[in-house]
Amino acid sequence: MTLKNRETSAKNALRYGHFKKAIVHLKVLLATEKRVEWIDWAQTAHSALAQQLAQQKNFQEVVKLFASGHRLCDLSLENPVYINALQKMNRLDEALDHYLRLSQKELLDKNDKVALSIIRSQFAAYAIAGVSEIIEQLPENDPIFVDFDKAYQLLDAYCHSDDESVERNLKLISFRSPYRDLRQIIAAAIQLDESNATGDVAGIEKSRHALAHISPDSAFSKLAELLHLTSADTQDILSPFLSLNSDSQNLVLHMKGWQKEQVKIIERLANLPSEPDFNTLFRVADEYQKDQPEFCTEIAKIALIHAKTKNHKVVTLKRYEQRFGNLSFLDKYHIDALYETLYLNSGLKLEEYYFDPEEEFDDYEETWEIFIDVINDSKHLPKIIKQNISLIKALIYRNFSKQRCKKNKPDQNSADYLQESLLFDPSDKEAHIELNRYFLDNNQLKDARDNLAIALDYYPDNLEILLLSIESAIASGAYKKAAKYAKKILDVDPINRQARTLLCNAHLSHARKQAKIGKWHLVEAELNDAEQWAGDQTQIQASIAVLRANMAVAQKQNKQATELLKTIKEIVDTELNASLIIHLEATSINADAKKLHRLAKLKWKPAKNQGIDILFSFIDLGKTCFEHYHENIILQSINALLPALQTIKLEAVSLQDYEKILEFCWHPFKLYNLLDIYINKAIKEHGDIPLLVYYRYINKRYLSIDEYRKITRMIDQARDQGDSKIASRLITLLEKSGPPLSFLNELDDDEFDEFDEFDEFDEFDDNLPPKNLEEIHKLLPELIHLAASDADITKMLKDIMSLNQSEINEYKVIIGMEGLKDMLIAFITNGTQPNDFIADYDNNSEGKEKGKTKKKPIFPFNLFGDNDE
Amino acid sequence: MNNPYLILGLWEQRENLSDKQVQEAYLSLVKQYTPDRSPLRFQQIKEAYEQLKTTKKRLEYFLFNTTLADRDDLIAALLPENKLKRPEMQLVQKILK
Repeated sequence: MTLKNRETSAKNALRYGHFKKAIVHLKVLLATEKRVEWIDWAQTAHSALAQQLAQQKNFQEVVKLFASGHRLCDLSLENPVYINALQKMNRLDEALDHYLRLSQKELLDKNDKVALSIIRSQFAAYAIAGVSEIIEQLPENDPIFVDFDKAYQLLDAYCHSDDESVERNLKLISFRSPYRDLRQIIAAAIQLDESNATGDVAGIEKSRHALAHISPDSAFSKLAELLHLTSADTQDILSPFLSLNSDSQNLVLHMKGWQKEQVKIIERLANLPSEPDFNTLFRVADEYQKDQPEFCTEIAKIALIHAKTKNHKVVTLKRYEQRFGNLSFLDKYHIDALYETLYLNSGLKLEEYYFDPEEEFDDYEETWEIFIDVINDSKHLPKIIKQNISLIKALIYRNFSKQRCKKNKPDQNSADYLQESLLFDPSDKEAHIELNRYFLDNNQLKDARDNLAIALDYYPDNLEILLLSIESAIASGAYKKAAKYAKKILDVDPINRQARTLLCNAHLSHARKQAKIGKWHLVEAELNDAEQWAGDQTQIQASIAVLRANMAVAQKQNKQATELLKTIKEIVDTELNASLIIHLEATSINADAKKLHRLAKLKWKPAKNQGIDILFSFIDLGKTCFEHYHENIILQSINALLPALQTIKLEAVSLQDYEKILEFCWHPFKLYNLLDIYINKAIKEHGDIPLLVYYRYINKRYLSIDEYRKITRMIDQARDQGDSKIASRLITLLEKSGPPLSFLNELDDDEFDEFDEFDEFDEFDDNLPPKNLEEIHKLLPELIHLAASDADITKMLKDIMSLNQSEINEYKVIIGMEGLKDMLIAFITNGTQPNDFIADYDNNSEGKEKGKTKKKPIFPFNLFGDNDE
Repeated sequence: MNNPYLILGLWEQRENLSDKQVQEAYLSLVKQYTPDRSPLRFQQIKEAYEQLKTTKKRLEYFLFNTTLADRDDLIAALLPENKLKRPEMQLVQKILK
C-alpha cells in the first residue's frame, strides 16, 4: 500500500470511528515520518479508543493503550481516563502522580471536569478506606484533603451510632465535595434507621430510593448497594447475598445480626422453591432442627400429613420419630384426623381416587370423634387442649357442619352438628345464626323459637339474631312479639330498613288476621302502627290504604273507601300498580276484590308510548310484593290482571328489555299465562333466537322432533355467539324435557318393548315407527355429545342406566369419562350392558388412555381403618 | 408466607398469647403496611389477624390447620428479622478499598 493510500485509509477509519484500524495505519505512517497532522490523528484515535475501552471497564487495555500512545505520538498521560484506569488497576502511586500534575492544569473541557471529579471521588474513597499515602501526598488545598477529616468523622460517627456527630458533619460537607456521595449515603442510612424505628414505611422507601440513586460509577456505590440490600425484606436478600464477595457478605451478616454459620442456611433457603413440597420441607426441618426446634417439629408434623403415598408416610414417620422423638398418642390421632380433613378438602387430589363424598365424610367424622374420645380419656394433655376442652369439642362439631355445607346445602345433619356444637359452646353467635337460618328456611318453627330464646340470652342486642327472631315470630303468627323485636332494633338503629319492613309487615299481617274476623278496632290499631314505621315504602303505604278502604266498605262507608282507594294510584304511580295492590290485599283477607276495584274507579288505558314504562313499573312493584305475599295470592292476583296486562302495547322493545320481562315471568314464581303473552310478542319482534327459544319451551315437558332440532340448533348458535349461559340453559332444557313426544305417540307395542329400560318411555303406550326409532338412535349420541359435561353424563347414567354413584365411580376408574359416555350411547343404541361393554372396551382399547386405578391410600396412623392396601 | 404467627411476628409468644397482644401486633403492622402502599402485605396481615384474633380462632388454627409452610415461612423462622445494626468501620473500609 502506498503512503498516500494508507493516509487516506487512516483518515477514513478515523472518520468512521474505526479507531483500532486507524491506529494500525498511523503506526506505519509515523514510522516513516513524524508528520504533525498524523501525530494529531494518532492522539485522537488513542484517546477515543481509550474512552470506548474504559466504558467497557477494560481498564487494563486502557492503561496499555495510553502507554503505547505515549510512545508513538506523545499522548499525554495527564488524562482523566488514564488516571481512572490506573486507579481501577490499583496502581495508586502512578495515578496519584498523574492526578497531581493534572490538577495543576486548568481544564476547559466539560467531560474532563466530570472525569476529574470521578477520579477525586475514587481517591477520596481510598483515603477514607485508610490508604494513608493519598492524604500525605496531596497539597492542603486539594478538595480531597480539605474535606477528608469531616468525611472520615462522618463515617466513623455513623458506624459508632454517634448521630449527633453525624448530623454535624453532614452539614459541613458541600455538594461539590469529592465525599458528597458518601454524605448522601450516610444521610439516607440515618433516615432509614429512624424510619425503621418508627415503622414509617414511606420513610423507609424514600431512604432506600436515595441509596439506589447513587451512580454505579461512584467510588462509594458498593457501600450504597450493600446498605440498600441489607434494608430489603429478608426473602429478597438471599440470592443477591450469595453472589457477593466475602467482605461484602461480612458487612451484610454483621448488619443483619446473623452469624457466619448462617451462610449455609441462607444458601439452602435461597435455593428452595417458593412452595416446597412436603418432602423438601421435612428435609429442611430435619437439617435445621437444632436452630429452631419447635418450628421445625411443627412443620415436620404438618409435612407428615401431606405425604402422598403409604411408602412416603412410613419412611417419613420413621424419619420423623428418629429425629423429633416419638409422636404422642394424641398427636397421632390429631394427625390422623387432620389427614382426613386434608383429604376431604383437596378436590384435585380426590379426583385421582374413588371418591364418594358420603363415605369420605364418614371417615373424616370418625377420626375426629376418636380424637374427642382421646381428649376425654387422656390425663396428660397439652395446656392449650386442657384449658379448652369444651371449646375444642364445639369447634370440631362446628367444623363437621361446615364441611357438610361445603358440598351440599345445609341439611338436618349439619343442623344437628351445630346443635351439638352449641351444647359445648352455647355462646357461638355464628352457630346460632346459621342454625336458626336453617330452621326458618325449613319451617322448623318450634326449633327456631327454642334456639332463638337461647341466642337472645347471649346476644340480646345483636341485629342478626333480632332479625331472625322477628322472622320466626311472624312465621308463627306472633306479630306482637315480632313488633317487640323490631322496636328493639329500631331503638339502636332507627333507620334500619329491614327492621322497618319486617315491623310493618308484622303489623299488616296482624291487621289482615283481624280483618278476616271483623275486629275492626284492632285492624285500625295495627294499621296505625304499621303506618308509623312505613316511611317511604310505597307498597306498604298502598297496602294500608287498601285495608282501610276494605274496613270502610265493611262499615258501609263506600264514599270514604273510594277516597282512600283513589290515593293508591298516587302512591304507586300507575293504575295498573294500584290494581295489583288492591287484588293482593283483597285476596289476602278474602275480601271482594272486584268491588274494591270498582270503588277505586280505576280506568286503565295507558298512552301508546307509555307501554314499556308502565310494564317495568309493574314489574318493580311485583318484585317487591313477591317477598311479602304467599305464592297463591300472587298467582291469583296476576291472573286477575291478565286482561289489563295484555292490552299493554309493546313496540320496538329491545331484546334486553324482553329478557327482564321474561325473567320476571319465570322467577321466582312461574307466571305461565304472563309468560305466554310476552314470549309470543318477543318472538314476533325478534324471531327465533337462543334466548327466546329457551323461554318459548321452558315450560314444555315433551318436545316434538322439530322442537328438539330447533333447540340443538340454538345451542350451537348460542355457543357460536359465545353465550355459554344460554347454551347451558338450553342443554338443561333438553335434559328435562325427555324424548320427542311425536316419536313416542306413534310407537306400536312390539317396538315399544325395545325401550323397556327407559323410565321416561314407560309413560307412553303409543306406537313408534321404525323410521323414527332410527332417527332417535342417530340423534341421541349427538345429544349426548352436546351435553358433554361430566355431571350431565353422570346424571344420564343414573337416570337411564339406573347405575348408582359407586358403580359409576367403579366403571370410571376402568374406562375413564369418555368410556362412560360411549357406554351410555352403546346402551341406548344397542342395549349393551355395562359388563359386556367393558369387556369389549378392554379388548378394543389397547393403548387408549384408561381411567386411573389408584385406590385411596390408607394413612398408616389410622388404627381404626383397614391398613392393608 | 402462610404461618399467621410468623406474619404477625408472634411466633415466640404463641404459647401464651392474649387477644390484646394479637390486636396490638396487628395494629402496629397495618399502620406500617397500609392498603394503599402495600396491598398484598396488608391483605396477608389482615388474614393472619383473622386467624388468630381470639382464643377460639387460635384453637381453630391449632386444630384444623393443614397448610404446609412455604419458603418465606422458613426464612422468617430460620433467619429472624433483627434490628439492623450499624456496620463496623473496618468492614466499610474494606468495601471502599
